[in-house]
Amino acid sequence: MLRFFLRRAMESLITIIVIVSVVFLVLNLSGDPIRMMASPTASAEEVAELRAAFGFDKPLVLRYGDFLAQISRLRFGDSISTRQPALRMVLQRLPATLLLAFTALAIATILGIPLGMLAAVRRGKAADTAAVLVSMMGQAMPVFWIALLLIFVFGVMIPILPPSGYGTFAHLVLPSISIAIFLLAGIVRVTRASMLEVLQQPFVTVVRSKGLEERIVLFKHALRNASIPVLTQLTLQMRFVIGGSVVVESVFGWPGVGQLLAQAAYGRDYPVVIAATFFIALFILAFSMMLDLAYGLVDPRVRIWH
Amino acid sequence: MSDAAKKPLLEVRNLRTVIDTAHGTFPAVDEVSFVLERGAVLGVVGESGSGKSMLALSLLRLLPGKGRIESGEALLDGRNLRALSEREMRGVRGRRIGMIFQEPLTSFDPLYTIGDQIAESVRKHLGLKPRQAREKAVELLSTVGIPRPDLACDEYPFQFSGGMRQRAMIAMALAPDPELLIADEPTTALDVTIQAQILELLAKLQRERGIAVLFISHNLGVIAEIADEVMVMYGGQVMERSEVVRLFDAPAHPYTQSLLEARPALDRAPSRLRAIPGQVPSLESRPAGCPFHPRCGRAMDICSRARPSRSFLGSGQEVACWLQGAGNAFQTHARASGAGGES
Ligand SMILES: Nc1ncnc2c1ncn2[C@@H]1O[C@H](COP(=O)(O)OP(=O)(O)OP(=O)(O)O)[C@@H](O)[C@H]1O
Ligand code: SF4
Ligand SMILES: [Mg+2]
Repeated sequence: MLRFFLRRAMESLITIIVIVSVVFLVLNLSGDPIRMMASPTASAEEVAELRAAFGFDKPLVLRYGDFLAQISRLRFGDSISTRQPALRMVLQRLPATLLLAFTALAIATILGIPLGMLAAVRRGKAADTAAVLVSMMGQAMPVFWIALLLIFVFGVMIPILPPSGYGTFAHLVLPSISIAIFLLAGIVRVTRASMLEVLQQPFVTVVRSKGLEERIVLFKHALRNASIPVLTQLTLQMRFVIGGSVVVESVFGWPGVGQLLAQAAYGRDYPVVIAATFFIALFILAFSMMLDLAYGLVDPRVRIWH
Repeated sequence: MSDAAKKPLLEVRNLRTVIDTAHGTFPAVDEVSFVLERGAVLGVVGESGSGKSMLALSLLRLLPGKGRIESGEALLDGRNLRALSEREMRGVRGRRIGMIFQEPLTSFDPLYTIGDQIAESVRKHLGLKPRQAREKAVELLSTVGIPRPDLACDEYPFQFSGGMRQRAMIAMALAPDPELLIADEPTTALDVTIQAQILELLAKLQRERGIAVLFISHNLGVIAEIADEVMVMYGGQVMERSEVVRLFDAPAHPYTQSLLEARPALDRAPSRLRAIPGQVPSLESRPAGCPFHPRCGRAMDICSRARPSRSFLGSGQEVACWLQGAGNAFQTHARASGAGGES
């Protein structure tokens, strides 16, 4: 188990290096941030000075080396637009993003797993049909569309929730539901399918043949077996949570890393983009390691074989 | 319980289990009747698809979604299992009737230890605390011949070999001390040497515990080793029922005779009894009259028109065949309701 985690940590490190390197390259090849920073009337000397101040006067390879050395010490430099340390800007916004992501995830799993189970147990009945329909709709609607719809309905038509902002519980509701709906749809679909498959397996009949209650059949045996594909689904959906949060944070004016990243990318604020990307990658990797741990807890075959 | 003690342990009367398919409703178990006394072993033999598993699952009321018992009764100590509530039925499953399944690999939940899966039924039926239940599980694992049972108890099914898993399955079924054990092809999925060991173990435990067994197999050789009495099934119906020696010496039904002829000379390889000419008809295309008539070398006119009733040949032998010259046709439900494709 320990070796397994060391290996995963190594993989994560490499993944992060690759991601930030790609971002570095894209940023450096797609335009000159100094040109955008400097005022249009700046003289050539002034531009060169700025360039030197930010280290943009060196060749790309050298800059890449410096870049990796700095990143490895968590030095991301100052924001080009605000002149504040990029690291601090990202860290300030990290809690808001984590709050949003985990609330959405919690809503989606806490509702999605029982709904998926119910649909499977009531296969073909009304509850099942409803669950399948809702899940299909949830997956078909783009997240910004859901977000706008929610703002329109609950912020404008029936104004009971703040359509944007941050600070109170009420502010959290609409953005987290926007992300949760899509996640929920996927979780319902996967839970239902995997539950149906597990309930077909011979060991379920064996458990029943021992005279055990349906509660034990469903929750102790079937659900645990069915949860393995659900964990996989969660791993896959994590990328969406991040993508979704960039959109949702911008739509709802939620001061998270996603919104910061969108602004920084638009303004070519190179240090901030790198820092935000770095933490988003770190977050995804930490989350997928948590899920790996969950696999091990659920399935002894994973635990014992690794 | 002195009253119940006089009654046979299990008495099945005209049991009929149907399955709903896309083409209609068809009987998988068709008017089956038999008696199983305490401590006796009844073998059930028949080709694939003859309804053996459906019969077993009907007794436990664990039919797959599309199956249901349509008529007849199954009396355990004189108590009709069909009339029990689901809750009462859970008290019968495992506790009074244990079941062993064919596939030892897929019969265990892969995520729990063998010990836990044995203990869970002991805890429910015998009301033991987790510690005592574990001790009981260890004891049972040792009874069925699993080496180092205290360690094996905490191992997962995937860490067991096929033969060991089937031993553990036997331990699990016997854990709450049932009076009746249903073994549905318990050795079919195993290789030949292991088969013999498992069979020996079952026979030994059966003798020691005086437990009654309904032993299902498609292999007459296996049945011969363990059963007192044999019931031959075909197309969901009982063709012949007889004491085991008599069945081998004087089979009365043409189907039983074909089964015996199709048996490999030295009964070693798990034979699938392919040598009988013709094919087992599918559930939806069972013929009217005697279900065996399209494959029977001695079929007569009447065989395709009416279903033969049971004749009793003395010393408990029972045959359903027109050759026995029995009287009237058996009035089956199928004909009355127009189901089963009969005309
Ligand atoms: N879940 C099901 N749905 C539809 N038909 C089924 C189902 N299970 C069994 N049947 C049909 O019921 C009939 C009896 O099947 P059963 O499993 O009882 O046969 P069996 O004698 O146990 O055969 P085997 O030796 O292959 O185990 C067969 O024709 C089979 O096709
Ligand atoms: S009833 Fe007729 S078809 Fe059926 S076994 Fe007897 S002789 Fe053969
Ligand atoms: Mg079977």
